[in-house]
Amino acid sequence: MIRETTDAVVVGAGAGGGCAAKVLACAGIKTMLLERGEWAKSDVNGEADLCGQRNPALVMGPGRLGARTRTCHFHDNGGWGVVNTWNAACVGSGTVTYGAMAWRFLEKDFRLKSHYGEVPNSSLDDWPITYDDLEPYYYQAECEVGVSGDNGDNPFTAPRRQPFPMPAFALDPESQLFWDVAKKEGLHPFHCSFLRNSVPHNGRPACIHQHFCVGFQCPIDAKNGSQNTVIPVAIKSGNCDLRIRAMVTELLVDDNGRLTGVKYVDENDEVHVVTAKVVVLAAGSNEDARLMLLSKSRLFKNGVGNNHDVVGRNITSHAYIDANGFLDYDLHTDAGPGTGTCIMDFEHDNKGFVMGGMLHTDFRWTPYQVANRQVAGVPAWGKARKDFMRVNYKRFIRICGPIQQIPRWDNRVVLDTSRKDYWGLPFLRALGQEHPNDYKNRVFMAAKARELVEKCGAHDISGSCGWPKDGPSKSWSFGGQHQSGSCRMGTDPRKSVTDKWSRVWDFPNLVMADCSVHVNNGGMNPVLTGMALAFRAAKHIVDNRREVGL
Amino acid sequence: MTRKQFLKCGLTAGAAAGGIAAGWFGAGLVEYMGASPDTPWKAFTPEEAEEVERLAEELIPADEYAPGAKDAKVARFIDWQLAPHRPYEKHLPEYRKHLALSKGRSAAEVEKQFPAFFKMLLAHVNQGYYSHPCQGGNVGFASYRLCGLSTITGRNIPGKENHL
Repeated sequence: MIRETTDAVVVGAGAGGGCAAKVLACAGIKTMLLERGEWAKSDVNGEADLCGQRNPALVMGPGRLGARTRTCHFHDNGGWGVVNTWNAACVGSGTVTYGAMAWRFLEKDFRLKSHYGEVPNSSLDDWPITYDDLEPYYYQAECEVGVSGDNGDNPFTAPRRQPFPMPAFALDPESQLFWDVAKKEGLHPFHCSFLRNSVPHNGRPACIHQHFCVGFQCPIDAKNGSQNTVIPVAIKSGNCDLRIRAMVTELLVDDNGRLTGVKYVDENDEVHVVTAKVVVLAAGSNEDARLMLLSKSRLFKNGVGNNHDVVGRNITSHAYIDANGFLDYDLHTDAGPGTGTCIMDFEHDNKGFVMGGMLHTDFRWTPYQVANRQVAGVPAWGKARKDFMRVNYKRFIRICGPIQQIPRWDNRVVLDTSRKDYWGLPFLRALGQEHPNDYKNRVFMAAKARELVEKCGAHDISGSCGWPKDGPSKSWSFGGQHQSGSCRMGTDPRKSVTDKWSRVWDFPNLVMADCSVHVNNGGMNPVLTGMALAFRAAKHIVDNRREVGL
Repeated sequence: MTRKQFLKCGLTAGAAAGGIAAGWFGAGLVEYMGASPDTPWKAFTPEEAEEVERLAEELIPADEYAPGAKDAKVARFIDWQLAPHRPYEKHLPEYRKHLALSKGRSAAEVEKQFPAFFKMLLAHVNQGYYSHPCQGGNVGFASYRLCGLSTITGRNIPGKENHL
């Protein structure tokens, strides 16, 4: 066993962990950034389109299937078996290969209970902070990690105090078509915002419009993740000690209930006990909860911060709905990656259910994805199928989007002692089910998507409302992507895991810095909110460093 | 994970499953950089490979627009994935069994008589033909050309596309 001492430990070098480490290190705090994966290498993962999150036919993405980085989850209904999270396990984590959509949650998203009232069988609640509290940190993330966008005349967006640091991307033909149709329908299309450079930014080049983007590491580093922005800055400060292939297995709590540091295992299976004044948890909503539940001590027999049995509860992700079809003419050019236009008209205040979702054109599909798309009347193989691909690949159109799920107390992850990982630690099991409200939501949104794809002139339309179309799903969404909320922030320690500064109740030196603290997950991709929360939580540590002895 | 670590990991009790897949990335790189059209089969016997080529060509035949599955080396893609420590290793017995039975039968007959095997074969043939060449199939970007998709800007290694 190796004993070490540092000021701060950050668990997980993903979206939130990178941002937090940067703030701490640049404030002169000796920070150890622990990551179970390693640096993702573009030349290794390359263009292997059967190995990304959109198409995991072979494997699931950088680092996903190594025994040391495997994290399995089980659905309670048993239907899924062993599933890996879709996110990568590497420095930067999901931000290396994500589609990089960058959204600010709407003002209403921070006060859903006030807006909609009590919703039976849900744990819908207001956040202990408002959009205004988070706004400066959204902007910090947009600048330091790098966001391009333009809200145009989207009346639904939350107000900005500053313009986007980079302009929006020009529309691709599919997005232009959707834009025109949406306008005609009286909707409010606007440019998607991205953690991707529309112009050179912070020393890295502008996007070169590859066909395919989501699921791939950018070969020219025009996609902004923590691995090419905040983490290098943290390291350059001289105060950030990034350790890869380092799997944190326990949060160390002494007999007096004080958090003293973490235990991690290095690549040689050597155990390190790191004593730290502050620990920042940023391992993602699943793994944060797992680590807290695994760390049992005399005064916290059910795990760190879990004396009220809240850790792992209220977890959400996103159901995705879609509609897709084929046009009568070639739509696509060589320029990718698509996903230019978005509408937020149905995010809130729909009839018959609470909340809603967004719709956007999709990332360009690979030939293999389209080849998998069955079309009535077209044989599954042979010359006719090949002809179909030749004629129709450039005519494919897809509109899709996430719906905002309603959190439920019973939707949770728990330790499953019957299944152990490489280190003999229990995996997670997912319990709970979909709220009937979400079923209505996704059926409504799927119908909207279908209507719009039809109005775009598509035929042979196919689509999905995400899960069963005949009723609520027996499981809530698997936390494979966009997972959030397992350690929600709040004002009441019996109903939340952290206070409004993302500090775990009873542990003033344990701070969450990712989407785990979300009270709800927005009807949009959550990563920018996770980054903003990480910046905010880390700044609070720095501003109050004396309280924790820094 | 380096190749050495992978081997070490593979020898560690209980780590085999993870080692296999982690090793896949390393092996994929080696083959992307070094494969030649003469690469010997890694999983199939030459007879089996010929049978896969025959069936695959029926599923995606050559035409005036693009090569078929045989020339796009779809069989090689499948062979690579069936090889030891590769993602489809576990499917090799099924291939072995059915390729012995499918001799002399058309794809339509195989579909009718061995529906489960055919479904898997079709999925793998589509993967081999329509996925990126770095995974072993789609030689010369056959399907990308078929679909009117240029080979990808800024990412291709000059000369490698023909090589593959």
